[in-house]
Amino acid sequence: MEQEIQKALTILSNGRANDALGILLSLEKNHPSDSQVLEALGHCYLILGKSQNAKEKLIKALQIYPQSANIAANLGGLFQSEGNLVEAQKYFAISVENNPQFHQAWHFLSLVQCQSGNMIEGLISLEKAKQTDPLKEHISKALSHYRQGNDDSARNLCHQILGRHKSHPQALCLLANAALQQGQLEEAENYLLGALAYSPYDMEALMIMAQLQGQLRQYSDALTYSEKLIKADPENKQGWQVYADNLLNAGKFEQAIEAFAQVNKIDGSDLSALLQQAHTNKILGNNPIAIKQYLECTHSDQSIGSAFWALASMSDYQFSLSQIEILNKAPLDPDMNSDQACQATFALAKHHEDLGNFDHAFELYRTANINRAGVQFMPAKHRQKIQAIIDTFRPDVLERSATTSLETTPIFIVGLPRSGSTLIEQILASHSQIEGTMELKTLPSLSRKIFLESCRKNKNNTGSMENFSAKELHEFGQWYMRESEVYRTNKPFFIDKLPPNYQHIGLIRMILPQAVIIDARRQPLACGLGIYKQYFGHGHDFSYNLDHIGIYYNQYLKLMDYWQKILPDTVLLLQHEALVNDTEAQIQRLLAHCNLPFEQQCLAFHENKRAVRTASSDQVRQPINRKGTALWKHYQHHLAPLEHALGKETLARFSEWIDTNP
Amino acid sequence: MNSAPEHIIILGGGTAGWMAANLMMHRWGRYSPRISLIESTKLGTVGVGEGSTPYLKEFFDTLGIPESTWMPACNATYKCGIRFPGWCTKPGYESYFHPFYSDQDGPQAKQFFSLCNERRNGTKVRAHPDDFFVSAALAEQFRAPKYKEAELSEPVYAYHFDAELLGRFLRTLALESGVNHIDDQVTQVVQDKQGNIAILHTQTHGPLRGDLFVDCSGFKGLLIQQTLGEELISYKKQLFNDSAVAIQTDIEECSQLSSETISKALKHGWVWQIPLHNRFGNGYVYCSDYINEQQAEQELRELLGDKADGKKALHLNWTPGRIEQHWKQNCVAIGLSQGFLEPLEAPMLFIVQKSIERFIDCFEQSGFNRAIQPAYNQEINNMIDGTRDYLQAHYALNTREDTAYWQDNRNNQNRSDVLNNILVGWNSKTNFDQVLHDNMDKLAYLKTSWYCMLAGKAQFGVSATSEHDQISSISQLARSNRDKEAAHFALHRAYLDSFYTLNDQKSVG
Repeated sequence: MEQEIQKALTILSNGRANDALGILLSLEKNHPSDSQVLEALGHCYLILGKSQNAKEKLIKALQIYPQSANIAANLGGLFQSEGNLVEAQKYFAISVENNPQFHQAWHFLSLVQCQSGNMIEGLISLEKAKQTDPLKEHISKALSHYRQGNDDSARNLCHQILGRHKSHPQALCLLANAALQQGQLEEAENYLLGALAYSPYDMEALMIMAQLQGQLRQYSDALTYSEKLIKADPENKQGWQVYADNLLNAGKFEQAIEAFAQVNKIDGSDLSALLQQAHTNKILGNNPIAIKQYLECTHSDQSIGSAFWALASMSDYQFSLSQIEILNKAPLDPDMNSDQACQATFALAKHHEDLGNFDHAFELYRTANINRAGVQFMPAKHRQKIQAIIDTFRPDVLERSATTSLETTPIFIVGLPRSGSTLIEQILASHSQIEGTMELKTLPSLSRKIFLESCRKNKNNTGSMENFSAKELHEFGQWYMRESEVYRTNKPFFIDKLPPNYQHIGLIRMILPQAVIIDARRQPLACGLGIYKQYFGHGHDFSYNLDHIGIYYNQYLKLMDYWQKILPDTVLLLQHEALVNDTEAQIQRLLAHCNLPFEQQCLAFHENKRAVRTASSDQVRQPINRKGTALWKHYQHHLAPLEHALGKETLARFSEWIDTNP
Repeated sequence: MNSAPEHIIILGGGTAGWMAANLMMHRWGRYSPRISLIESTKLGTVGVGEGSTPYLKEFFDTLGIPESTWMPACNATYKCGIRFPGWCTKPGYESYFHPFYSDQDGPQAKQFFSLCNERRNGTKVRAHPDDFFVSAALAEQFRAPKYKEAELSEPVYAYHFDAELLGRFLRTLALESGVNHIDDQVTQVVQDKQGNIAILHTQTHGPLRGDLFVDCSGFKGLLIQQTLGEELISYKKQLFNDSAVAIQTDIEECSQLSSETISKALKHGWVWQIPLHNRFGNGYVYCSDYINEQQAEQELRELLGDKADGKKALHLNWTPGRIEQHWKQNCVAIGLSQGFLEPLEAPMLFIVQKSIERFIDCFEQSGFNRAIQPAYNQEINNMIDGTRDYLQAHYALNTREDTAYWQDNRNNQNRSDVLNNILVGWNSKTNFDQVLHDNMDKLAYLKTSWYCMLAGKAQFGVSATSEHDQISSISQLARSNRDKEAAHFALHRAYLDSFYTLNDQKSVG
């Protein structure tokens, strides 16, 4: 009989299910209570799509042979495919009870448990699945190679594993991590999609994916993944951390504060979450709460510098003598975290600036800047980059653009940091027709997508825009409008203020031809000093060296001059000093450029209660004063390296603002 | 890399410092560390080294900088090898040329080795390296190691350059690639609880923190020696020379331009003559136990004649030797802070470059956990000691009788086992290749270098002179072959001039 069953199964696997069914049915007649026959029959019905019959035979088989793990697992699978999670869970549970080493059954048991909301048990089963994984040894070998930095061997092992199990979540996660290290975000995303399709509750895959989506600036997806993560494991500190970061980046500040509080609740010793809460409160203008939280953070080695630096930039806070003493000592402690020491020095510098000790302040700013670790600006490469943009967006390339009109018009405010762009945003956001958002990463993210698309299309890596059709350009524009939707409501205009977008003006022109573009510019010595005095959490790697700032400023000018030349009347140049000197006239000019009527409340921008997430959040909540524009003069004799890097030509261009400014 | 450094601080802006800055930025740029180089431009650098080994070519190739760019900027010239006159007094062997071995030399080099071995075994036949190597002919004929018509494979060669200009060139390069330059003096070094260097206090820039330090502070070894306690192990017993006096002289721009370093033995040491594009570098390397600064300067001036009139002399001194741990805690020493042997054979830049590259490799493997540190230090020590042995052999093999200096050098029994093995092996009738092979781990110079030195200095028995040596037809043919081959090469000055015209055109365009 065994042979007969085997024969039938062979026929079945050859695709002749009906022939197999005939053999098995006649076998059943003679052996109605043989579990093997019944199991094979169930299997056969399954393939024929007759799940009712299959179920019947398999249930009977299991009654006869209740110790079978396979029959139970097959039944579990059957019920699972019908969406009957309760029954599926029951049979998978029987299966693993019968064979606790049954990896597949554990995997599916965990899946149905999670799907039915039984997260705790589901995760326990998932752990069992990992323990019983027949490829466990291979995985740990790959992991150990990876940890030792032998990425190539680790990757090879993973691909071997995938040859045997094409959606092995751990192998895919390792490959994703390796890809991330190389900056191959899209490749990493594909690996993770594979892992999550097979094992949607794999915590590791979810964690990496939630972070990756954030990195890709796809915040709605990022939020979906991170919500899933914390729902599955509400005690997972890192999960809450990622969730909170994503909320923050999606502009959901109130929720972000709660999520950070959750991190803090899980691990009271981790003050970085408290620091984040404080930052978020500062964004919302909740200064008293922010100050209280910052003060608490000054007591930890891990956040002391960050907290003091944040406090230093709040105009309603003054350091006490004992705090000054701490700030004097901390940066000298050789065991102190270097980033915290650096920020503490920035804070102390700001304090002395506020006291009017400008020379001492400058010395401290200089010390702070040379101690900013992990930043890298390569002048030669940056020049090449700017030239490459100019080469890509040649006048003939820019002749093509998307043709459709938009219901909502984006207003891009670009320029260098510390050039008054937040002020312009605040003024515009006070207009009834305009919505303020935050520093949106949508455009850089899209630019990256388009670059990859161009590489695929043109089979080179020049990033050439020549071969995109008007329709494709239109779709890129639509992608931008869709992705930025999460940040806005329904006003006809909205602001996208991300200074480095000055590099993307050609792109904006091509994909969103109706967009309004404003170049926020400030004379280079004031702007350069402002940048130099700032500790940026991340990005702006050029900002910690006066030579680099000068080079960067000149390259910015070079590119803006190019846009002005080939796209005349497209970009409104707003000189910050002019805005300060003659605010109303400049605001009128600004609104005229947007084709909007003047509104009085634009002058009362400092009363606007909107969230502001930039270094200027405090300044724009006050009326314009000239103290800020003249501050650089106190430092002028220290700025020789900056002047040298800028060169005579640039300085001459701005002499009107450098020499005559009050 | 497991854990990449976030802030690399290089102390010292000599050739070593800027070379380290460039190589680290090149190799580690993708990990985005900040790299800062702190130096006091007031203090200046030693900057006398003007010759390289062929390895320097790899440095510029790695960074993708063509010779036509960097050579004119550094008044650099080609170096086909080194000529050693005056070390041996035996007739016919008064001078020899130490070539850089190229694959093209293969067949002729083989003939040379076998003639040497015949001569070692008593056959009275001339076995002089100069007859066999094309680079010797190139140098004799004032040619560049460059074919007139471009060829796929070029001979191996090295460079002469103005060390100060090279330093400046490397600095510009490093700044363009994002290295931060801090002009200041370090006043105090602070270590953390683990004994790692954490902070350099400076005169005007306040405290400077880093997680990885590169000590290129020169002889004083501010970090590796003065802070981390490494001590110089003196090699004075092996290498007597501890001083040098250098004088630059003019070069006639219309004359033929030499493409070799001359290392000529004098009474108490030797003198280098290095042709740059615009001048000569000259320097007398001597041992201060035998003559003082004034005597040395006088001897050099006499040699240079009226060309040296009115030219300033620069005096230098050092203790030959090395430290034991070049990489210790979170600090690696590169350059003079590691120690210094002497200028003969111009090995310093090679040691610098190799030390940086191997450090980068090793750090990538084990990062801050430093498991690989002992192996790295051993490797560097082998390289330096191997170099020391080869340099010492130059002195050990001299046949001069004019001064105690040379006699003492010859009779000096403070030699490493390796050097003894080699010298004994050569003088006995054993298979010399086998001797070299047996000591391979500890050799810095390979077969061709040893054969050329030993044959070039006529190490063929105490009483042997070469007067009656037969000039074999093999030698004659080899000599005419190398001359024929050399004729395909460009003249040195004309070739270099083309770089200058090229750059002029570029700057006009």
